[in-house]
Amino acid sequence: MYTINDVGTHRQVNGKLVALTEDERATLRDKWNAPDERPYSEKRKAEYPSVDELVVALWEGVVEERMAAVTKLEGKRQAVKTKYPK
Amino acid sequence: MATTKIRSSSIEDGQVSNADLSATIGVTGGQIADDAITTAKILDNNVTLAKMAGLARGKIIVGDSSGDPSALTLGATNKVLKSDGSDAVWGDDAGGGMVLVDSGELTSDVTEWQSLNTMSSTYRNYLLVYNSIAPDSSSGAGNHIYIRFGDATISTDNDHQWVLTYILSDSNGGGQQSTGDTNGMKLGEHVQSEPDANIGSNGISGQIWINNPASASYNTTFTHMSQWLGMDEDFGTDYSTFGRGGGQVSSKSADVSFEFHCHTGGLEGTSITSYYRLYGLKDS
Repeated sequence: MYTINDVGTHRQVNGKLVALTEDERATLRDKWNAPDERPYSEKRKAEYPSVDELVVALWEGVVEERMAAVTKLEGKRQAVKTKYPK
Repeated sequence: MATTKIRSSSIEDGQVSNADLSATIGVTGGQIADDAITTAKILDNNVTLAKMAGLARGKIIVGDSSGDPSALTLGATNKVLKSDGSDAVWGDDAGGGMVLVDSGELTSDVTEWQSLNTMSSTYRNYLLVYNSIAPDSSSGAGNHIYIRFGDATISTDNDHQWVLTYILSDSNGGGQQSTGDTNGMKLGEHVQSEPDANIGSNGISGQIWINNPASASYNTTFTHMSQWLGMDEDFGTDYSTFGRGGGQVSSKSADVSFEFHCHTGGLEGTSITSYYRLYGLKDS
């Protein structure tokens, strides 16, 4: 969790440093601490293994009959699903 | 009569031929009539600069309306020599199709980096080039860098719809999207922070094409390409990452300002200097 002390004291506007008010700093702190409101599908998609990884794992599993990569990726996918439930 | 005693008055005019003159005879300027030297009397390439009349510093010799040389006075500072169809004249440098509108350098740690009220209806399209924008050290594992568009003061956090696809130098890659993000458009995911950066980290650099920002009749749209070192949280190791994406501000609004910021935490300005340059593109 961010505290007010984690929030900087200035923003730069058109080349000049402008001091933030305490209210502005508190607003930023709250924004930074706010829960991620994206739909679960967006959160999952952002963290799923890439398509490249999936293709390689599937090739190894189906063609080469080596399931290690498939199993590892499935573990990653399930972890993401658990992290972002429906 | 001694030959040395003949006086000039004793010689009839027009009777001394060239053959009677000494080969070393000198002709002085006073013996040449005014305006008597014709062009043919001057050998080519024999009028030196020193032989020309003086010319005030900066003046240029050009032909005038009578077909004669004339001195064109030096133009004012930053004026360029142009043609008006008849004469050489000094005028404004119209430049190319791209005009620098705004520029910025970040040399202090800040929460946001804003360029307010710098886009207008003067240009339909803009190009924004940015260099080395990095999260500060409060973001130990790197952070996401966003750009947000808004009104003259960015008074509200507009929803932005965007997509971002990326590929890493280890050949991994992926994509993300948002149907409504008040943070703005994500330019880079897990951009390595400064000053706790890995070797080779320079923040995120790239360019964004911005279309119709100042028109309330159109959504502001944007496409970008960028490069950064990051994605560590997803793949365990930082890799050089190339990203490209695009999107739009969800509502039709005049978005004349933009702001760089991190998803959480601040931007680094002391360990690395960030730059941006905003160009307007002429329609013609």
